[in-house]
Amino acid sequence: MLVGRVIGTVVSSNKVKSLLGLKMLIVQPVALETQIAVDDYIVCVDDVGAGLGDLVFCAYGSSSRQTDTTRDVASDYSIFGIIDSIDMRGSRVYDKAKEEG
Amino acid sequence: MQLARVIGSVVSTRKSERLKGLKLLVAVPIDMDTMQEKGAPFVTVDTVGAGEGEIIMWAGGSSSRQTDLTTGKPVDSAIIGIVDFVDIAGQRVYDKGRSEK
Amino acid sequence: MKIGRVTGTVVSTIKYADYRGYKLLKVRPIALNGVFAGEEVVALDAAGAGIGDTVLINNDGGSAQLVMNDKQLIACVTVCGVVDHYTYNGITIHTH
Repeated sequence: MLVGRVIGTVVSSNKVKSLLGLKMLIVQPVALETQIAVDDYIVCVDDVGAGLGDLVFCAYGSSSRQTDTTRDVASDYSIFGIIDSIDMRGSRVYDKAKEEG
Repeated sequence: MQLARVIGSVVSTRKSERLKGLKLLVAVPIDMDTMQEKGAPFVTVDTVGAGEGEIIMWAGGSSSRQTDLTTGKPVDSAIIGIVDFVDIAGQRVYDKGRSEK
Repeated sequence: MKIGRVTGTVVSTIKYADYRGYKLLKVRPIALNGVFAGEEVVALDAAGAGIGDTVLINNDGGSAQLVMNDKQLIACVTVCGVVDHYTYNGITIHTH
């Protein structure tokens, strides 16, 4: 599952029918340990109501179309969760509550 | 399938309904030549009860949805086995029992 | 999906029968600041896009089959939408 930060939104009124009504967000993939940007941005279909600045995880390919909202939708990446915390090698490398507090 | 070592976990409370109850783990790829960690850590879904420190097998893409736990769920990477030992060219390069002692 | 720009059209007379009637576009991904980034690809048009449009590029074969409503289709890249505007890091880019 790809982990990234929501950095923006995309608006398109002329799009394929299956995408109508769905929110599309720009996700910047990050390294898990540091949450520093890696790779290029991706436009994802949002399935969880993510917002700007949220750290999220996404699924790719046919896996991005497995929920009621995304079924038969022309998506190649979808956001399926907002991350609360990441633990690695015994230490907490990301904590949403701390970041917001 | 590829080998990786479990090094952590991810917590997400706001996630797709279909992902509820599934455990998200952080794993780092294992280079089969050296049996050392090599590459960037990634997030994957646990289907076998893997724990931190264990070497596991994982599958990506639609193959990761072929287990009872992940069928029809928005999962693009899943841990599908815990590795006991690895033999390459007649040499035992990894033994779980020995590495735990 | 990636954001890209339509740089041209592709016309092919002799092609796989399943492609008949589909419009083929040349698209190139862009970085968020608007400059071209990455390789130019040929995509099936599902959004009625034209040259110069900023578009959504979908890079999944399964999506291509859904978009074109053809379960037998062999394709990987489709243009799924024309972008009106996008916002990143607080900057809004109007694309037309």
